[in-house]
Amino acid sequence: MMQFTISRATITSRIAGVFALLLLAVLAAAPWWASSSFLHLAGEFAVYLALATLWNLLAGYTGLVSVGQQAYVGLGGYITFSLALFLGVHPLLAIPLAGLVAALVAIPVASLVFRLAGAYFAIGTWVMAEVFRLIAAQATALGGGSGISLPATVTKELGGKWLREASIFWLALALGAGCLALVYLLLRSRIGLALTAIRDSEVASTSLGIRIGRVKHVLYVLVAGLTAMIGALISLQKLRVSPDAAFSVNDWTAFVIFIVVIGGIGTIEGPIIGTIVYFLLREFLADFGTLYLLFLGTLAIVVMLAAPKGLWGYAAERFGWSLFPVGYRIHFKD
Amino acid sequence: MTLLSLENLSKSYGALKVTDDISLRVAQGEIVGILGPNGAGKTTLFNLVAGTVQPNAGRVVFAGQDVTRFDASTRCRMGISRSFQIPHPFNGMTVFENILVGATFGRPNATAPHARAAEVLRLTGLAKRANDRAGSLTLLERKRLEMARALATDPALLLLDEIAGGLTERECQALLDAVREVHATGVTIVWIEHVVHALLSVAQRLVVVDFGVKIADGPPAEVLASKDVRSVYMGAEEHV
Repeated sequence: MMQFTISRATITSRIAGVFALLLLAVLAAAPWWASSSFLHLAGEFAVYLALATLWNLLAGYTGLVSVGQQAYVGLGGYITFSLALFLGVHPLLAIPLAGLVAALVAIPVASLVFRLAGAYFAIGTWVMAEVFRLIAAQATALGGGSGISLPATVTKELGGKWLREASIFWLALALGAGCLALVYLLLRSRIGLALTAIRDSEVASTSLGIRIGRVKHVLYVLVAGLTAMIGALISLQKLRVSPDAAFSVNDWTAFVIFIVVIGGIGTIEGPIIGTIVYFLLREFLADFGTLYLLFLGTLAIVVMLAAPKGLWGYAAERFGWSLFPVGYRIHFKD
Repeated sequence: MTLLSLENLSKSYGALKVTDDISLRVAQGEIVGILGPNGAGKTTLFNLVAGTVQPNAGRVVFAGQDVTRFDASTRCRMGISRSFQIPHPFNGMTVFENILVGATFGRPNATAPHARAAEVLRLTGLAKRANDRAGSLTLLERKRLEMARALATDPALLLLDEIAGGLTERECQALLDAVREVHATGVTIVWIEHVVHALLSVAQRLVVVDFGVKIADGPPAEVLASKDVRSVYMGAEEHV
């Protein structure tokens, strides 16, 4: 028998891990040292980081390019409001419940949209999201087409102004960091090996015994549930849901695709870099109105042409960087 | 005992018959070589056996079970494994990880996948490249990786599709040693190869395919001497 050892971390990744934990600790204390506009911005950052990480898992690894993830963002918001308004569920408890319900809804939806492949799948998911939006607009008890705000009686359950802002921020931090950690652990696991293989070649994956159909189904449902939890969080950040905003293809899918594509699709680090770039651009260029959107589009095209694997993909290939190593290195002893 | 049995298999793409009523039996423990000109339908035959392509007619029976309607991943876990003529490496993964995929998902009881992958690395001579990305391999190394991944699934039946082309004499001997070593562990092998001398040094039986039809099947010497094969393979009889 041969002697060998397997290693999975690198020095860079250990430093990155320590740095990430420190950052998390500093951020967790933010309600005591930061302004409420910072908390707001950081919460929004966490939302986009989570959405991008989840969309990347779906599209970047299993090739399921969904243009309809806003279906679950909106669904999460509407479920949260329904639970809080009609059943008196505490808004924070409503978040995991929204995730659970959305995952259940995603099972039949998956069996519909999985009949389509490639571009047809993309359009199919978008159509599903529009169906969800139209159904929400019919819900008169939830304000119909114009939507509804969370009544003050429910808002009070989240505490006073400081506590409410702090808890929504902590929630965003937990969900953002949680999604990232979950995706990292998932990709390091046995399933991750299958997902990475599927990303690189479906033909070879299936010939080596991977049940591609099943992997994709499970992943779609998991991502739907988590996306709905983010949607629930968004509805609490805004304290309001309306069909057009909650099911917005621009806000919850187009920007998310932009983030993943410029950051680097099919890598864990890509969505993080992409979210940072997106927020920097938004903060500095927001005053330019329509020009800002034109600039985003142009930048996306330039990145796709010059570095098709995104900013992180380019750097990783060039310098061999890896902050979140999911791979295996084997060392023979002799 | 028959391990694999193809019964009147046919596959056509439009009017083109790529597999035309082929029947073939492979016994447990055999090494069968498949010869035939380019475009004769050899790779399609493998696609039908491995489940990548569904036949229009006929059956594929493996270990006594009709697997015709089973997909490729199920057949892999049952013990049919194949290498691709045109390599499909997982480019973003290392050589070791590529092999680990087969060792983890291709075996019915995936015990100690790391040890299995390490063993395959040694057997196929890829140990030195273990931690390199598959995308950085040369074509020859990619072909070796194809065989390694297939082997990692611990197959009962190994289908090898043109793995000896372009090798030096020494590399070819190393490959043949590896094939013999795999065969010695009880693996049945069906091997499509244009490098006839490599095939002849291990094959116990030769099957020749031309225009989707099986035109010869038997001991290598007999098959190579047969008139049909000589005319297909070396041109018309008068030129020989």
